[in-house]
Parts: sequence; C-alpha cells; structure tokens
Amino acid sequence: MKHNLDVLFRTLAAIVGGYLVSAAFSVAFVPVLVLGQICEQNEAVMVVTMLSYTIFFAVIILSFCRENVWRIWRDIILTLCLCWTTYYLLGDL
Amino acid sequence: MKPDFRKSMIWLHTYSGLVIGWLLFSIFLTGTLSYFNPEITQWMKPELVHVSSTQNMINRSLTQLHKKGVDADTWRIYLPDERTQHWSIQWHKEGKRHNLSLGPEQGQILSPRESAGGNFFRTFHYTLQLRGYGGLYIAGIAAMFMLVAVFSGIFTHRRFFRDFFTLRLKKLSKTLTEAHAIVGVVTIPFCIMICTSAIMIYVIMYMPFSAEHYAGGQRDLSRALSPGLVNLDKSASRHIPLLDFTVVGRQVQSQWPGQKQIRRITFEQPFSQDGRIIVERVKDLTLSRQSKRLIFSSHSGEPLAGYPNASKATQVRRVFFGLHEAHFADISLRWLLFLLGLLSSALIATGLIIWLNKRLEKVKQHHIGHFIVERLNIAAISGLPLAIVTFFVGNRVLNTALENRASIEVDVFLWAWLACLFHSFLRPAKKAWVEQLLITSLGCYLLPIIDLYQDSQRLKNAIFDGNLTYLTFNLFVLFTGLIFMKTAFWLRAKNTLYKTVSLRVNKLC
Repeated sequence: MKHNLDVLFRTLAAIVGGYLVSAAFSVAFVPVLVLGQICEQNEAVMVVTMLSYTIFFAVIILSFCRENVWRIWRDIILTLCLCWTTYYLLGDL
Repeated sequence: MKPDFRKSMIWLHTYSGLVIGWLLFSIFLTGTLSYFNPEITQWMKPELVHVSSTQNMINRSLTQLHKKGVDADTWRIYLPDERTQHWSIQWHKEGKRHNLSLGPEQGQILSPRESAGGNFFRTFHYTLQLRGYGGLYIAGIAAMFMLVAVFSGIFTHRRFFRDFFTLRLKKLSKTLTEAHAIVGVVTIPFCIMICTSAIMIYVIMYMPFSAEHYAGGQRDLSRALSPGLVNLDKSASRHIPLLDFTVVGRQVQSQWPGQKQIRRITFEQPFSQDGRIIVERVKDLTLSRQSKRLIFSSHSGEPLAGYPNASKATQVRRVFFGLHEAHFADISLRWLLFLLGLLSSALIATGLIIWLNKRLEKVKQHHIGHFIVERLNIAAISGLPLAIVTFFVGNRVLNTALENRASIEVDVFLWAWLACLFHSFLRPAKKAWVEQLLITSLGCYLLPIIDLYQDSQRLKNAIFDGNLTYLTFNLFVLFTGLIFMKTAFWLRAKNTLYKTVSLRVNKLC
C-alpha cells in the first residue's frame, strides 16, 4: 500500500508537476530573453516554449529517481515560485 | 521507490513502456509506412499511369484550368515526380474544391479509384482517426512516453557493449531480451529524433500558455513569426491569367537551375488584377519542411515581392518538421529510415512481449492483468499488420464505383483490427499468435495474385515502363508474407517442443 501511494505521488509529480513547471517556465522566461536582448518577444515565446519540453523531461526523470517523494514536490513548488517571481519582477516591463 | 538511480530507471522503463506500448507500436508502424506515402498511394490507385515523361505539363494543366476553372478563387497544379505519377489540377470555386487527374495523352482525364491511399497511414499515425477528439494530444503524449522509455532504457544495460554483441537463439525469452537490447541500441538516435521532432511539430498546441499570454494565440504567433503575403483584393479589375507559362518558367529556371524543380504551382485569385502565382520548389533539396517559393503576377508573369523571411525560431521548427517527414531523403536513405522505423516498432513489440514473459515465468496462476496484457499484445502486434493487409486487400476487392469508398476502406481496416482483438480473446494465446500471423502472411501472398487476376496488364505495364514502385511494392509484400509465415511456423515449433518437454517432465514426476 505504501509503495502504491509512493508511485502514485511520483507519477503525479512527473505528469502534473512536470507540466505545471514547464508551462510556468514557458511564460516566465520570455521576458528574460527579451530583456537580455537575445530575441524579440514573439520569437522568445517560440524559443522558450520549445525549451520548456526539456524542463518537462527533466522533471519526469527526477520524479522517479529522487529518493524522497516529498522533496520532489517541495522542489516543484519552489520552482513554480521562482517562475512566478521572475514573471512578477520582469513581466510587465 | 527503488534506492538507486539504475533500479529506478529500470522500473520507469518497464512501466512507461507497458502503459502505452500498444499505442506506440501502432503509431510507429503506421508512421513507418508513411515514409512511402506517395508510393503506396500509387499502388492503391493503379489507374494512375506513367506521366512523368510527358512534355509541357504546366501549359497543358493551364489549358484545362482555363476550360474548367473560370472565375475560380484558386488554381493549383500538382506535378508528378519520381515518387508519384499523380499529376493533378485543383480549383476552388464558391467554397467548393474540384480535382482532376491528368493523363499523358493530350486532354486526357484519368479517373483513379477513390481510395484512402498511403495518406491514411500518415493521418492515422498522428490523429488515430480521432481528429477533434484529442487524437493529436494522445499522439503527443505517446511521443513523450517514448522519449522517457528510450532514455531510461539506456540505463538498464549494465554491460552496454557485451549486450550489443550477444544474441542467443535457443530460448524464446532470451532471444527476445537480447534482440530488444541490440535493436534498442541501434535505434536510440532514430527514436530520439522522431519523438523530439514529433513534439516540435505541435509545440505550441501542446504548451499554449506562453503564446496565448504574449501573442494572443497560436495563429497570431505564427503569423507574426512567419508573415504571409499581402491579402488580395477580390474586387480588383478582371484580367485573364497566363495561358503560356514559359515567361514564368524561364525566370524560375534561372533561379533554380536543373530539371524538375517545381512541385506545386498555386494561382491565387487568377482572374484579378493583383492575382499572383506561387511556385513551390521540390522538397528534396532542403531539410526544412517549407521549400523555397517564388511569386509572380498571374496575368503578366512579372516577378512580385516574395515571402518575408521567417524568424529563426520558426525555421528551426520547420527543420524539425522536415526531419520528421523526411522529404529530403533520397531512395536509399528513405529505405534506411524505413528500416529504422520497422526496427523501432520491433523494439516496442519485443519489449511488450518480454514484460509479459518475465512475469509469466514467475507466477503459477495467471493474473487478470497478465491475461489482458497478453491479449492486447496479440491484437496489437499481430493484429495491426493483419488489419493493414486487409486494408490493402480491401482496396483491390471493393467495388470501384462505391460511394465514399475511401472511408469504407478505412472502416475495413478498423473492423479487421477489432476482429483481431476479439479473436485474441476467444482463442488460447499461443494459437491466436500463430493463426493471426498465418492469416497475415496469407493476405500478403494473396495481394499480388488478386492483382494478376484482376488485370494482368498492370504487371506487364510495370515491367515495360520500368515502374519500380509497383514492382517493389509487390516484392516487398511477398517478402513480408514469407517473414510472417516463417515466424508463425517457428512459434508453432517452439510451442510443440515446449509441450512435449513439459509432458515428459510430468511423466517423470
């Protein structure tokens, strides 16, 4: 039973958490590219969305190889906060 | 969870593969077939005769369009190439689309049978016949699963090189595991390329938030990144479009030297003052999905301003798209990719069988889960080829005058597949395998025979015209039949051997 719950939370972290983190990344890091004058906004949207899949992939792998399932969720939430802060600080510029 | 990285990767490999393996197998196999999309269509529409050596094709298409497509909104001319003999014209008028296939004689119009063609496999492999019901999303999820399975699969090998050079044929489960390892190593780059590019095709659709937030949606984003031509004014004064294409042809020739550089010609608002001609180059010269385009005026043939440059990011995405579709591949590279696709399908199939075998060896009593996995394995791995062969047989057997013939062909495919599923549930597993494999091979042998019986002229024409597409298709089908038959007999021999051995063991006890 304990094992099943563990797997369930990991799978949720991989699929739901991974998608949330990559979606947040795809929104939050557009202003970083624009402010760094790497590319203009529309192009940045495309670039960051393409890159967000690597984040998704990394979260999936990490959620299944980290030892403690709660640490995974903690890190997902921390990353979401980081994305939100980035967007809050840079987004409206 | 498992304590160390390798063990958790093995677990992930096992279950990410199992959960979606049957879907992945279907997607990979049909996708592999669509590497030969035009060739399969060519075979499925035998009425399309050899036209690619016809002279003056563009002007003859224009004559037809002038006759039929007066005051149409667009005209299109599709030119044949080495891969397809389909030479057709199309015009849009009052919201309706009309098609005509042209033949080599002056003014000849061909009426090929209505058929789903090779395009069925292409559409099926990314929509699963569920377009509008989330089929595209399911295919994207499958691609992500495959990436995870491939990545975690790398870590299941402790001895990468030794595994690669080992193949023992004595015991079925050993053979399968070792074959799985070998094929896995060979197809790693191919699988990663295919899955990544598959995701990149619908990159914004799967992750739309950024585009919606900053650009107002997918369409607006792509319009901003790769701007199109100016909108045409429909009410501009009337002009008769070009009758003789040589004016344009000469300019195209100076820009794109060489023979047969044009794939498609589109006339937008041909009867308007600002009507334009878009000439698209063949795709086998570029990795990108979008080949080069030239724009001319539709009545004077003067060059007009071309497409604005697309942004770098869009170009990268188009290269991913192009890599996935592989229009750049010449015939030998195409066969290599086809082979890699088949190997990847085999990789998935062996993986599914291994999962089951390993568990059946350990337990005495069949669990309901084992039962379901076993049946789904049969229905997917031997049922899908059977359904595909039935689809081809249907193409030949169905009456050519049927209405909605193309969708009936698809129905035949789906019903055959469903029948395989039922069959696998009703029969003992080992027999179901052998039977389905045998029927598939029988269907493969039947195809060329039906063809000869219906019209022996086809084979003669193919030999005299050097129609390699037709000949290769038939040879390949026969070869497939042979392989399926061999596999079926081999399996049956294994099963009887196993039975006699276990009987003896029982007697001894």
